[in-house]
This record gives sequence, C-alpha cells and structure tokens, in this order.
Amino acid sequence: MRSGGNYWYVIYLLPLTFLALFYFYPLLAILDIGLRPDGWLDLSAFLRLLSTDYYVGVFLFTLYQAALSTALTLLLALPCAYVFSRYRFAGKSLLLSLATLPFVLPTVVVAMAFMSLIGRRGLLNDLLRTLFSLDYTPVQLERTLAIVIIVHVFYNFAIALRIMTSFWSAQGMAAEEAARVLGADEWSLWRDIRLPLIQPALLSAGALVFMFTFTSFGVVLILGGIRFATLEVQIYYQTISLFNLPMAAALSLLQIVAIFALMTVYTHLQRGLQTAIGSAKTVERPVKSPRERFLVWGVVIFIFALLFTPLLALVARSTLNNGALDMSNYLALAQSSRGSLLFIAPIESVANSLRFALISTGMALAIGMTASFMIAGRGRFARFVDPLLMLPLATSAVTLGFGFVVALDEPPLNLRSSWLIIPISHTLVAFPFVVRSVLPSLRAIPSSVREAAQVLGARPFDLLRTIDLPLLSRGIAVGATFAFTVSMGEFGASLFVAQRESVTIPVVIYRLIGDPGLASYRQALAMSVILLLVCASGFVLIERLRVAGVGEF
Amino acid sequence: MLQLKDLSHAYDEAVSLRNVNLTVANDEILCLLGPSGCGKTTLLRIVAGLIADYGGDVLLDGRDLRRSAAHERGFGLMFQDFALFPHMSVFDNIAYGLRRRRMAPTDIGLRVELMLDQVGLGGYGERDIGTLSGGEKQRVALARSLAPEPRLLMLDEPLGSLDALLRDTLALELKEIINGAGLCALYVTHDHREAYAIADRIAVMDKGTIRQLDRPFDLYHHPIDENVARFLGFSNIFQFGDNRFTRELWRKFLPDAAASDAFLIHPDGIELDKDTDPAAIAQRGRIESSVFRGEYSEVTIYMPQEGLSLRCKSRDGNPAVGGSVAVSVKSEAIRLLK
Repeated sequence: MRSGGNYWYVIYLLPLTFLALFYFYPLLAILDIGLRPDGWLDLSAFLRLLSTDYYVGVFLFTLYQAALSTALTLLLALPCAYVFSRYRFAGKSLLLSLATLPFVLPTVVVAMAFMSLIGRRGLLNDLLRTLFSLDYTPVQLERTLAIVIIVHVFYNFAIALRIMTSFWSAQGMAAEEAARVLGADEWSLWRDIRLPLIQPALLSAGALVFMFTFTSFGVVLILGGIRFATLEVQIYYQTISLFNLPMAAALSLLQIVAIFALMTVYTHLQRGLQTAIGSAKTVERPVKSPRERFLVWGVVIFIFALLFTPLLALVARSTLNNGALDMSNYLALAQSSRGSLLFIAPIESVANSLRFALISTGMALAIGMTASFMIAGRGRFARFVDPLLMLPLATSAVTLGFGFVVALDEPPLNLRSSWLIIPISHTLVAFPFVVRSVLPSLRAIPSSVREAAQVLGARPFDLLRTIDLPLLSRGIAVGATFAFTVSMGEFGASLFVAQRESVTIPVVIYRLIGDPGLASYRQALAMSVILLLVCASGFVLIERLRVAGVGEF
Repeated sequence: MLQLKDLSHAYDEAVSLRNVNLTVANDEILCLLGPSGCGKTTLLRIVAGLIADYGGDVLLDGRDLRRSAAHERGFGLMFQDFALFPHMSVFDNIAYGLRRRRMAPTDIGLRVELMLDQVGLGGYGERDIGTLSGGEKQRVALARSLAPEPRLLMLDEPLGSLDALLRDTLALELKEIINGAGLCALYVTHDHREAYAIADRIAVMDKGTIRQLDRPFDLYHHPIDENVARFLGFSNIFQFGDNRFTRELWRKFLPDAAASDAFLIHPDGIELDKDTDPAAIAQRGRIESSVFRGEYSEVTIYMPQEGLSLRCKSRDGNPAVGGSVAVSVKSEAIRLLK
C-alpha cells in the first residue's frame, strides 16, 4: 500500500458518527420507549394502539387522505403531462421548472398562502362578499379535508407532471402511429395505447406522491387541525399536548414501518421505470388547430392558477390594504403581541433562522461531502453506506424531532436546552440533499482524469484542490443552497426542539396562526412573505446553477 | 532504462499478469500489443504507480519503484480518452505537471509555448478544452505528458479514439516527437499496423504473458506461434499432415518436422500464375473471393481436392471470382510455428 494514503479514511468517521448519534440513537430511544416504557418489555401501548378504534381510525384516515391526494394529483397531472409531452410552445421548459417551486416552499408558507387565497379572511371571500354584497363568509374551507387535499395537490403536482412528461416523451410515437394506421380512433388510442404505456410512470409517481402525503405534517396540522389528525399530527399531539410518550413512540414505530413498506414499493416501481426509458425520441409538435391552442392555454392557465395564485394572494394580502400599498404588517414584526405564545418579537426569529441555516449549511456540507466521497469511493462498504445515509430522508421530520426530544434530553447527550439541537436536526434533514447534489458530479469525473493528475505529480491534497473541488463546485453550490433553503423552512422537527428564545421563522408563523387576533394574522402574513422570498431566491439560484451546468458537462 | 522482473498481478481471482520480464532501453519505443484483456493496460498502470499490489519488481535505472507513489515517479502517461481536465484551458492543462513541480511561472509560460509549438498547436493556449477536435485533444494530451520532461512516457491506446485517416498521420508525428524527446516509451495498442509503424520493438501479449518480443520486421515475418500469427492477421495456418498439399510442402521444404507441427504459409511468399520457378510447389485452385484493397487485392483460393483455402495478395488487378489460378509456394514462405 502507498504511504500516507490510509489516514484519509479517518474523515469518514464524521458522517458515520453523526448518523449514529443523531439518527440511530434517537430512533433506538423511540423503540425503547415504545416497547419498554418502564424498563421491561411492555407491549401495552401497541395493544392499545391496535385495539382502540380512535387510533385505528387515525391510521386509516392517514391512508385515506393520502390515497385521495394521490388520486387527485394524478388525475390533474395526467392531461397536463400529455400536453407537455406532445406540444411545443413558448415558455414550456420555464413553466416546467417553475412548477417545481413548491418543492422548496415551507409548509407554513404554503398554508398561509392558501389561507390568504381561499381561507376565511382570503381574497376569494373578500371578492365574493364585495361582488354579491354578502354579509357572511361564502367559502368555508379552513379546517376541512378539502383544503388539505388541495394543498397536497399543490405540493405534488409538479413531481407527477415531471415523471409522466419525461416518460411519455421517451416513449416515442411508434406504437401510437401503428395503432392509428390499424384503424384506432382517439378513444381506443387512450384505452389501448396511451394509458397502458404510461402505466409504469403513473404507478411510480403515484407511489412517490402517496409516500409524501402519507407523511404530511405541517399542512395537516395547520389547515386540518386535530379533527383530521394523521399519524404525524397524532405523534405531535401525544408528545406535546398529552405527554403520552409510549403512545407517541408506538405511533412513530407504526409510521416508520409504513414508510419503509412504501419505500420498498416505490423502489420496485422505480426500477420498472428506468428500464423503460431508453429511446429518447422527441414527440413534440407545434400547436396548430384551435382545439390544440385551447388545450395548451387551458393547461398553462390551470398550472398558473394552482401554483402561483396562492403565492400572489399571500404577497398581496400582506402588502395591500384596501387596494393601497401598506407595509404596516412588516413594521409590526418588531413588536411582540400582548398575551402571545411567543416570547420574542417575530423579527428576532429571522436572525435565529439565518444563524441556524448558516450553521446547518456548514455542517450539512461537511457531512454530505465526506459522505459523497465515501459512497463514490470503491471501498467495500460504499454500496452498504449509500442507502444507510439516505435513511434520514425517508424518515419523517416529526419522528426525528420526537426522537430528539426523548433521546437528547438526558446525559450522556443533553442538548435539550441548547440551541445547537436545532441546527443538528436541520443538518440531519439537509445533508442528504448535499449528497444527492454532489454525488452525480463526483461520479461523473472519469477515473482517468484523476489518474492523469496523479501521474503528473498531484499529491492527494492537490488532487482535491485542483481537480475534485473545481469540478464539483456547481454541485456543491446547489447542495449548499438546498441545505440553506431546507433549514430555513424546516418545520416538523423544529416544532419539537425549538425553545422559547431560539424559535425559527416557521415556528413563529405557526404560533402566530394559532393566535386568534387579527394583529397576529397580519404578522404571520408578513413573516410568510419574508420566508417565501428567501426560499424562492434559493430555488432560483438552484435552477440557474443547474441550467448552466447542462451546457458545460 | 526500465526493467520489469517477474511482474505478476491478479484482479481478485483472475490473473492478469504472469511473471512478465521486460527491459526497455532509453531512446526506445516499446509497443505492448495484444487483444483486450491480455494484461497490457494493467502492466502500464503498474509502471505508472496506479496499481500498487503487484508481485515482482519494477526498476528504473536500477532503482526499485515499489515505494514511490504515482505522483512521485515523474512519468508521463497518455490515456485513451486523453483525460484532459475539462475545467482548465489548454495552457493550464499543459502547465499542470510543471506547477506540481513548483516551476517558476515565467519558465512555465515558456515551456508551455514550446510544447504547443512542438505539437503544432501554437496560439491555442487560451482555448477551452471543450472547443477542441479529437486530434487537437490528442496533441494537448501529448504536450501535457511531455511538458515536465518525464523519464518514461507511457501511452495507452493514444490513437484509439480517433478516426482512421487521422490515426495514420498522427502515428508518424507521435513517433517523431517521442524520438525527438529522446526518452523511453511504453506504447499500448491492439492494432498491429499501428505497432509496426511506431515501435522499435513489439511485445505481443496474451493472457498475461509476453508471447513474443521482436522488432516489427521480424515479428511480421516470423510470428512465433499460432496465437501470435492469428493476432497479427495471418490465416494460412496448417499442420504438415493435413493433406496432400501440406505433406508435399513438408517433404520438400522441412522434412525434419513432425506431422503435427503447425506452420504458416506467409502470404508474401505465395505467387499466383507464376509456376515457372522450379523450386516452388504449385497447385491449381479456384478463386473463392477477391477483395480489392487498393494497392493489392486480397484473394482467397480454394483447392477442392485438398479441402484447403489459402489467402494471399495479388498485385495484378482484381482477379475475377470463380477463375482458375495456379498457386506456387516457395520455401521462404513456410514458417514453422511453436
């Protein structure tokens, strides 16, 4: 073996230790509380979970709302994907990339956005009241299942759209043209050709959307309330309101088992998707007939209405007062409202969030990059480590937060009262994004390029400085931006671990929404817009880096 | 001078090199020729220091290289895919090895300009790697590996990814530049024509061993065994006892050989329709195929009574398929194979 080279592997202890301390240890603590709350094996919490109609109902409702959200998302995305894959029109790729904006938007912001559009105090109600001189609230969607489902569609529409569009585009037109020549009409084309061909993408997208909506927390908590509690929300209530830790742990374990079952299904379906994509032949054609123009316009307007009107409503609601620009909502952020659940002025949370996001980004980069090098390396355990490092991504934020609460509040690791617990929890959620951004670029560096540098005299450190880091810079920038945005918007885990003075923007918005007063509502609007701007900037930066990256490699 | 002593290597279970002994003199271009998987690239990577777990010794001017890492050896290595650094300009690519040696910036500038001129790319310094053609990339890669004045240059199929026309001109240029630099070079290829053109000596490799080590002329005229002969593209390989025609050649030219001895009828020693030479053995056959190659036609002649096909070259136009022809084989055409 070459001299000196082996000490490099010490650095791999960083991601492994981090995972062991802050992922597996909390998970074990949950297992411990769920299975042996008093030090010996005690399955009573589980038995109660399985025999109480209420908890069984919660589980079934979680499945039901996920199934409903998934069905609606697919139903709406399918025709849009058809139009996107078949027609060429100006601004298509821009719209397709803008449609993924929800992916980086925090749940509190989206909840606020939909409340400002179709909520009790929303623009739609204002409009209807003014138009028809009503003295009641015509649209009553807050605290209904309907608004939860609508927001789930908002979040997952772009994922389904992208998967189906790219799959359909890659299918080519051969089968369809053959069927047409054999005498198939439009109806038989859908029944015999298009739907059967899109089925793998439909299933794969469906599984992904189901998984996301199954673990949905913020949306359900804020817009649904306890009446529509899912497993996630129930874990939160059991921990924070009822302090029934064994039940929360039992629910968490049920949740973990369900997610891993879903993950397995998704991975299986995903494999079928990858083998099918091969002959990427463009099937686009220009829009000609009035019918086609109608289709394309319809899709564009629908996507705009679904994805952007809520955000515009939020901005309008926060800055306009009777049609005039009014920034008083923002000025009010420096005041803490009387009798509020908050202990600080809302604006102070911005400093908190920025500080935590910067620290989390640094930690996520350090851990994510060493992890990427470890996975990309040809070491024996790289194949084993890859899925291991992705586990936090598949674990719900609420489970992570709950795990922190039960594991890190006593020696040997007592972080419960330290602000450090927040950036640590954010790092756990954010570092897989760094890995996913850096790893593809790292794998794209041909081994011969690195060997060429070595033969030309580059020592291991030179190799990192002159070859790896410059070639990875774009991936690192994307990963860092992701980590920052994720940390800024993280809600589920933060709600568990944030303390009085260390609350972050999303937690503050949640508290403000919970306050009955109009002043709090206005502060929530302003805070949401601030967070929206931060996350949207992150999104623009990520997309720009990605687009520029295509031409260069 | 590079010496390999009992060099051995295995990937997991599969043996890739088996007791290879080889000496490359200074000012010599030695070609490692063989099919893919014969171990030639493995040998190159061991010499470069990119593979460390080998058996035997690698010596440069008598000094054992086992303890020095790839970046300490000061060798040049040119990859088949060129492995240029995509994020650097042409200048920075060529300067890379010089910078690692802490050369002064002004000297680096001069050296890079000199290298660019030498490979015919004067003024290309600021160009982006992505804007270069295949041939230009090849020249940059050569300049980059030669810039630090390596003691040993290794080339791994350096013309492999270029089109045929470019290959012929670049092969000549490459030989001139390497000879001009006066260094010891190891050149890996699977194309025997390329090896003939470039090498001072050729080592034909198969299954991890060197089968034959010779000058190109000797290799072409005297391939040592059936494997080597077939790899070099020869096909007239028979055993003396095969049929009446081969037995006649045996009796007349090599009576001491055994019936089971394999031999090659070298196509250069076969003549068509010239049965005037009393020393040759002649036989009539039918032209089975005739492929026009420009300077000559490659003709396959079938002898029905022997059940035997011979391949040879015809320089008299393009003989018609189906025609009858007299084949004469002279004594010099017979090469005994091991």
